[in-house]
Amino acid sequence: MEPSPLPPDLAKIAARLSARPRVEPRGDHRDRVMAAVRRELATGRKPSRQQKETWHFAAVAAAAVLFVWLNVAMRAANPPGWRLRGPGNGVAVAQTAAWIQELVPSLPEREARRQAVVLHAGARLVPATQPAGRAAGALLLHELKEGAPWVMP
Amino acid sequence: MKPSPEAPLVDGLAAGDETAFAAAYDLYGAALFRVAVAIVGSREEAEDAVQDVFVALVRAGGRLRAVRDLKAYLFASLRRAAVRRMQKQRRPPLPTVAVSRAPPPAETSDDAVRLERALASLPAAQREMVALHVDGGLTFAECAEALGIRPGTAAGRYRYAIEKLRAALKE
Repeated sequence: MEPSPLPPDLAKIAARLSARPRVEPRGDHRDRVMAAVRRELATGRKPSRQQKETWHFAAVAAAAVLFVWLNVAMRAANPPGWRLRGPGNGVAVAQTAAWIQELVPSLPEREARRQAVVLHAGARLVPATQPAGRAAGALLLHELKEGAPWVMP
Repeated sequence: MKPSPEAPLVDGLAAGDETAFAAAYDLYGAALFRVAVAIVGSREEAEDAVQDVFVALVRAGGRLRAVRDLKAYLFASLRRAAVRRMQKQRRPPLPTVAVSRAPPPAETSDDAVRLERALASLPAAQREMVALHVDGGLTFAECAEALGIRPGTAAGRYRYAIEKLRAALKE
């Protein structure tokens, strides 16, 4: 709905506005705009930067979800157990201590128990490589050459 | 709802048909340019702003099918393009001197110069309204659509602008 017409004095000013000379675009402007349109139509078929960023974000998010899921699945498939001391462990140490005391009756009970604990701890040790470093390796070689006795704890 | 007469043109634009863009330029290019000059105040910037409008039209693609009024859509897009251009130049949107920076008409009389000066002294929103209605040839309903206001507000803004021009020309 168009509003009511302007009063004559205002209509005269509106007419002067409409009649004033206007600037027009230069003759080559149409060609420039159409060249830009053609360029944009050609590049529009390729994924835009924003689309690329969206895909990149989606890929990173999917990788993160997959990583977390794999961790949870592996943990579920291989429960850690934490090598918790079982209820029978104390009994086993006591049996070993008794057995040591039978073998060496002169050993005090406290020492027999300590040896039993050490034996049990040693049974759980995992073989590992020697400490790295030139000094450690040289010391070992020196001991082997000298025929130094191996001291077991 | 009755289909818009511009529907085939909008479909062509949405489909990326080059001839549709040429037709849209032939229909609205000059009017867009005149309004752009009134907003940005320079011929070169105005030409670039109109080019931005057509590039944005290509990028809009299939979304254009939802456009009800292509003319209003183009002028709304022009406003955004003009504001972006002025922000790039760190100029405030719709500066008060916009029209005075516009190239002067080839034939200028004292009355024409006074009219241009009076126009330049208008508040930015009223000057933009005059540019859309007079230079762009938009109806008040189309101006309202482009500006995101009610048609009554657009008509009122235009009337205030003309009243201010009358007062300025009497001084």
